[in-house]
Formats: sequence, C-alpha cells, structure tokens
Amino acid sequence: MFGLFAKAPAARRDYSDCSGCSLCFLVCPMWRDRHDPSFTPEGLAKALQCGATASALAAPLDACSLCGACDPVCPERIDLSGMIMNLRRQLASSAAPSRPAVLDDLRTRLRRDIIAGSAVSRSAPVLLPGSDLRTAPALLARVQALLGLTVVEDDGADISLALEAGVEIPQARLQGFLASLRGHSIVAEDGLLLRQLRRWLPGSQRMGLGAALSSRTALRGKLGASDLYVIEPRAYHADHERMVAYYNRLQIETGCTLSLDLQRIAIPAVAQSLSQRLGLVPGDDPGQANWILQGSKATRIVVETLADRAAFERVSDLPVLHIADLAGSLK
Amino acid sequence: MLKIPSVEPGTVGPCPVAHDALQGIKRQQTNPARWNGAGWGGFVTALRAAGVELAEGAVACGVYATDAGGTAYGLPHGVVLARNAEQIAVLLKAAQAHRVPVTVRGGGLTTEGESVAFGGVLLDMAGMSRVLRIDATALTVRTEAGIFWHSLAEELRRENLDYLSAPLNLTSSVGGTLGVGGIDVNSARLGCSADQAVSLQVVTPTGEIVECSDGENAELFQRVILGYGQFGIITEATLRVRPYTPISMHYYYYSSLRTAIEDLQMLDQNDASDYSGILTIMDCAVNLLVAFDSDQREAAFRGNWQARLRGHGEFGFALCMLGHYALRPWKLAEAMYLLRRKREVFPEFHRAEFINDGYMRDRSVVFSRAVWKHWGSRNMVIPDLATTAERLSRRSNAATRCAASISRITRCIASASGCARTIGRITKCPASLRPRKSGRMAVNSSRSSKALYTAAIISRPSRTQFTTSASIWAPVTTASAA
Ligand SMILES: Cc1cc2nc3c(=O)[nH]c(=O)nc-3n(C[C@H](O)[C@H](O)[C@H](O)COP(=O)(O)OP(=O)(O)OC[C@H]3O[C@@H](n4cnc5c(N)ncnc54)[C@H](O)[C@@H]3O)c2cc1C
Repeated sequence: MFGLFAKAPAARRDYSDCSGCSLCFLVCPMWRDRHDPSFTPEGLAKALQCGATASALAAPLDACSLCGACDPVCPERIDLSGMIMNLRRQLASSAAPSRPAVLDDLRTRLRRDIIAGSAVSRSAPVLLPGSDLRTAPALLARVQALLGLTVVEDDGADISLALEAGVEIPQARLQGFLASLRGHSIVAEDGLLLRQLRRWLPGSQRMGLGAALSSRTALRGKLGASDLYVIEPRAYHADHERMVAYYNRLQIETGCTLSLDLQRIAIPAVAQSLSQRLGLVPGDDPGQANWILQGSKATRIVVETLADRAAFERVSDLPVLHIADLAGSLK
Repeated sequence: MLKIPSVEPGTVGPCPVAHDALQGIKRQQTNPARWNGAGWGGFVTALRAAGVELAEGAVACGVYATDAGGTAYGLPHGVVLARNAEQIAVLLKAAQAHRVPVTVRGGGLTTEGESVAFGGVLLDMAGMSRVLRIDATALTVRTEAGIFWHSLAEELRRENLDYLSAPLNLTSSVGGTLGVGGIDVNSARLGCSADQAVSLQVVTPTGEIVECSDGENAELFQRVILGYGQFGIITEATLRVRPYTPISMHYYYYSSLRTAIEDLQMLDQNDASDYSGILTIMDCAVNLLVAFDSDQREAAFRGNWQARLRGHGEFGFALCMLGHYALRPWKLAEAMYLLRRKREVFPEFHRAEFINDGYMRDRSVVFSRAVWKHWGSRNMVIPDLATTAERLSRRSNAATRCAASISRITRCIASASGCARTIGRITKCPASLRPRKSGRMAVNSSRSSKALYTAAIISRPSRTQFTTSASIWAPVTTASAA
C-alpha cells in the first residue's frame, strides 16, 4: 500500500515574489464569496509588500479557510497558505486584548504531558482519525477495518488546531508527536496536519484518508458515472501534483464526476473562517456546496469527510454517503 | 489632461527568458506625473455621504501598484470596489464635480500602465463578477463586466457552453478585454473577443447608465468596444456563447519563424483549422499549434492541408536540432537553453489531467497556465512600443520579431487590441489575415471612427480620465493493504 514514497517538496518562494497575476483569485473561496481583492492571497502578499502588519490584515486572515487551493496555481511557487499560517502566528502572538478563551484552552492542552505511544508495532501503518471522525465511532471502526490500520491514540488534533489558529506549538509536544509517528506509514483524515507532516517528516509515507479509502478496489468499484465524488481539498492541494494524477485515474476508471474546477483544483464544500472553526461565530454558508452542485447531473454524492457530508445534506435531497459507507456490510 | 513627463530612458537588463533578447534596448518608463490630489477631501466626503465605500491607505491601494507589465508604478489616492452601475454613476458624477481622475481596472493585465492609477480614484471592476443569466437556447450570456473570462468559463461549462474567444491568461476581465480587443487562438475564425459582444450596459463619463448595442445607441456601442475605457465604463455585457467542445491538438515544430508564419497564414487563409497560433522560444525553435472542434474538420485538415505544412513532429525536430548544433558546437549554450526550455514547457501541454480521450478539455487553462509559468510575470519581455516595426524586426529576439512581423501584416488589430504589447511570448494568429472576418472589420471601423472622436472626447470640459505514477498512490489491492 505504501510502496511508493512522497518526494520532499521543492523550496517555495515568499510573498515578496508575488507579481500580481491574480491566478489565486480564481480558486479562492474568499474571492468567490466577496469579490474583494484584499480577501485573497494576492491581496495579502501585495499588502505585505506595502509594509502591512498582520494586525492590519486580521479580517482576511480570519476569513481564509486554509483550503490550500492557491498553492498549486501560483506560477511563482509562493507558499501562500504557509504565508497565511505564518501571519496568523504573528497575530496570535501579538497581545490582542480580546483573545478568545478557546485559544487559551488550546495552549493548555498543548502543554500537557506527552501521551505515551500506544503499543503500535514499529513500521505498522497507522491512522490519525482527527477530531471529526472520532465523533463517529461506528464510521471510524469501519474505516479501520477497511484499511487494516491501527488507530493511534495521539492523532495530533490539538496540533492541527494550533496550526490553524496560529498558536505556537511547544517543541516538546511537537517532537513527542513526531517521534510516535517516525517509521510508520501514515493515513490522516486531517488535510492540514498531512500538509505539515510532509514538511516535518519528509521521508515518511503519508496519505489522506480519502485517497486511502478510494484506492481500495472494494470501494472504488462501487463508484459510478452517476456519482459526484467530493474531494477533501487540504490533503489534495498539499500534494497536488500526485493527487491530481491519482484522482484523474479514479475518474477515468469509475466515470464519476469530481468536485474539481477547470484547473483541476478541488472546490471546498465547506470554507469556514477561523472564527467559525473555533466556534466563535456560527457558520454553515451553503455557497460552496451549492457551487459544486450547480449544473451537476449526479444522483448520489460521495464525500471523504463528515463535514462535507453535513454540508451536502443541508443543501441537497440527494443521498450523501461517506466513501467508507460504500462498502456495504462488512464481515 | 495628464502630462507625461519625459523620463530618462533606461535599458532592459538581461532577459530571464531568452539570453539574446532585448539586451541593451532602450525602454521608456511610462509613468506620467501623479495627480496632485486637489479636491480629494471634498470628493471623499461627497462619495461617502452618497453611500459609496472607498478604501484608502497602502494596504488597500498596494494591490494596484502596477499592472502585468510592471513598467509603470503608481498608487491611487483611494479605491472603490465596483458593486453596481448605480454606484459607479454616483462615483463618476462626484468625480466630475470634484475634478478627480478615475482609473478603471479589470484584470490589470495591461503592460504599459493603462490600468495603473497615478493618483485619483481607482475603480476595481472585479467587484462586479456575477453571471446574471445564461440563455442556452439563444446562446447568450448576460454577465457583469468585471468577471474574469475564466470565471465565466467555469459557469458556462456547468451548462456545457463556452465563450467564443478570450485572451489566454485566465485573469483578464470581460470589460477590460472588450475595451482592448482580445485575441484567442481561434480569432482567425471567430473574430476578436470584442466581437462576442451583443449589447452592453455602460456608465458614461457623465454618469448616465445606458444600454447600447448595434441597434440601440449604436454610436456609443462602437466607441466603447475597443475604446480602452475612454468612452465609458462597461458594467454589464451580453455575449454570444456556443456549445462546449473539447479540442484535438496538433503541434508542428519549425526552425524558422518565417516558415512557421507562412504556414500559419496558409492555414488561416484556407480556413483549414479551428484554432491556430504560434508559440516561440527562439527564432530557431518555433511551435505552430493547430486544433479542431470536430473530427470532421480534423479529417479535412489531414486530407487537404497537413502535408503542406513544413513543420516537423517532435522527434523529427529533435533530429533536425541535433544536426544543426552538431555543425555549430560553439552554440552549445544555446542548445542547452533550448533543451532546458523544452523540458520545462512541453510537459505543460500534455498533462494527463487536462486531456480526456486524447482531446484537450480546456485550451485556456492549458495555455494560460503555461503562459504565466514560462512567459508571464517575472519572465515577461515587453517590446518597446516606441520602436517602429522596421527597427523591431532587426532585433534578434524571436518574440519581438514575430510581434513586428505580425504588426506589419496586421497593424490595426495588433495595436487596437494591445496585442503587440503583450505577445512577446505568445503570438496568436491575427484575425485580420482573413479578410472575411468580422474581427478585422470591427477593429477597423472602430479605429477609424475613434480617430475622429478621441480628440473631441479627451478635450471635453470633463476632467475625468479613464486611463485607461501510476505513481505514488497506485490503487491499493486488498492483499497489499492487509
Ligand atoms: C501573461 C499575459 C498574457 C496575455 N495574453 C493575451 C492573449 O492571449 N490575447 C490578448 O488579446 N491579450 C492578451 N494579454 C493582454 C490582456 O489580456 C489584455 O490587455 C486584456 O484583455 C486586458 O484585460 P484586463 O481585464 O486585464 O483589463 P485591464 O488591464 O484592467 O484594462 C485594460 C483597459 O481597459 C480599461 N478597462 C478595464 N475594465 C473596463 C471596463 N469594465 N470598462 C471600460 N474600460 C475598462 C482599463 O482602464 C484599461 O485601459 C495578455 C497579457 C498578459 C499579461
């Protein structure tokens, strides 16, 4: 399953290299929602070029969903989502008077003792289920059975949230987490964590949960031409070069429609701002899910994440299935 | 009128694209003097009182500091994001009253500062980017004019439709392109992008909102099309569209630019292909692309015209180049440059995810991505516009020479569309090669009438200025997963 390795990512450039081509606008959910250049990666890069500080950019920094769609389309190879995460770190470390309590809780969690590594035999493939999948134990058990993976206790959900919110991750916590993963092949549900693991563990074998499941013949065989298959965007964009080839094959083999735009960039079904993700403001804007469905003739929607399942159930009467549910009953 | 001060001409540094390009050529910096800001305060107060949002400061204005050319730099005093025609009308009336210059910007892909504001207010049309109506029966679309062609394509494709012709760069806007012309690889057949316009909603410099077309306010319509934003702001457009078809591509490689252009002309004069264009790397490495919307057209091409093309296939061309450089070992550096360029660029045209059953899904995506990656932004080479075509053609750079020869043959469309400025890297077939086509006629008539009217309009009392493997994640077998 993990026979082939991911290559270490090539060095990327920074905001000073932005030449203003606006290609990132075309794939940016913030742009789709607002049509305001200051709410785009280019807008942020240009503002930085003009000397803006993170606090002057607080609104677009909060609005970004970190879907990562801008990274593969940038012709200058600027690490745009890295730039945004970096700015969020600057913002979070500045002594903002109204710092949400949820971030203080997160800081406390990150300082807790390192969870002892569970008894996972060395080099066995492991599954990092992430906070969403843990809320659905039956689905998690099914995923585990389908993939034959060991679920690790410490799945780095706190680290992922810290990455998202720009909260500093104590070295002890990070190193402890990475130590427990070294030598294992990793399947992660959380695309943001997967993106970061690519940098933190460059020699490791990693895969997003959606790709891991859809590559199983038992599940793949159940996909057909009347399905709309919705890809989890973060894992897809973090490894775009390979994922685009992988899903292209999936489409050719099964005939399903993919939630990709004309540039083969994944359209996020859910594009939550940081405040929404932290639960500070409500957020179930149907705009993105509706855009994916516009003009679609599919009679069934297959998703890779529970958040996407909920999003489509809100806007569509079509059956919405998690990819793991395609297998029918498991013995 | 703004005065353009004479600036000490600089010289262009070594070109990152082609080592023999444009070195030592004088270039004119295009910045005019910045508007002095008199009356700005009163203007802002009036605008805000009328409910128009205006952003000021470096963060808001910095995005607009230059255009795709990067030869002109300027900051507006403030920015208004277009929201609707009424808001723009209010803005223009206030600008007239307070004598504040207005610069309209679509995608900002001009290359000589036409969409850069040297003070005053910048109106960013991108705020008006919604598709309003698609009529699949009448084959038309009504859209707000700030929309990027690519965003329009995304919406049309959901209905299995496509626009007729648009610049190959993904981020030029409908309004900005109708204002300058727009050339696609199918323009020889379908005309320039502006030919798609059926009718427009325009806000005139004095703030009236006017619908115009060939049958209604025809004079305004003809001024605004290819009008560089000087005759009014296009806020909405009804465009002709067509059913979407994937296309089949053929590439021919030439070691002579002249031969490639002659073959391109031969194809276009005989209506032998649906799409045609030339991509240059150097004079001695030129790619002629030919493409078709239907198998029938492709079969006719194979039967009647293909044999007459003098270009090679990829392998034949490689052999040809091998022979060429074997006899010229002192040109090893050039050979290595070409090889590197081939390795970088060619895979872009054959990426599996953009090809379906041998047909290219979307020409704009494939070519625009390549244009930005390998010819655009920091790789941009802009021929000096002040130079005559004769002088241009003496330069050694393939792109400039091509631009020059195209502009000699088709001077009117190249200059009207701004094409000569931007085709340093990608040169499409000029519409005016084909006398029967509406593109040329539109440009010609528009240009000649404009020549008469421009002076009158610019010298109006109004101060408003429109500056214008099977790899990594191979399917997992149950056995290997277990
Ligand atoms: C990398 C690259 C590739 C290119 N490829 C091509 C190509 O293949 N074919 C081609 O034809 N061109 C090409 N161009 C040129 C460019 O596409 C055209 O100049 C263009 O279409 C401009 O559109 P825009 O929206 O960027 O307009 P802008 O640059 O924003 O504006 C162009 C002019 O129109 C005015 N304007 C803008 N919006 C409006 C409006 N709504 N109403 C009235 N006036 C308005 C502006 O003030 C300005 O004078 C290329 C440019 C680049 C940088």
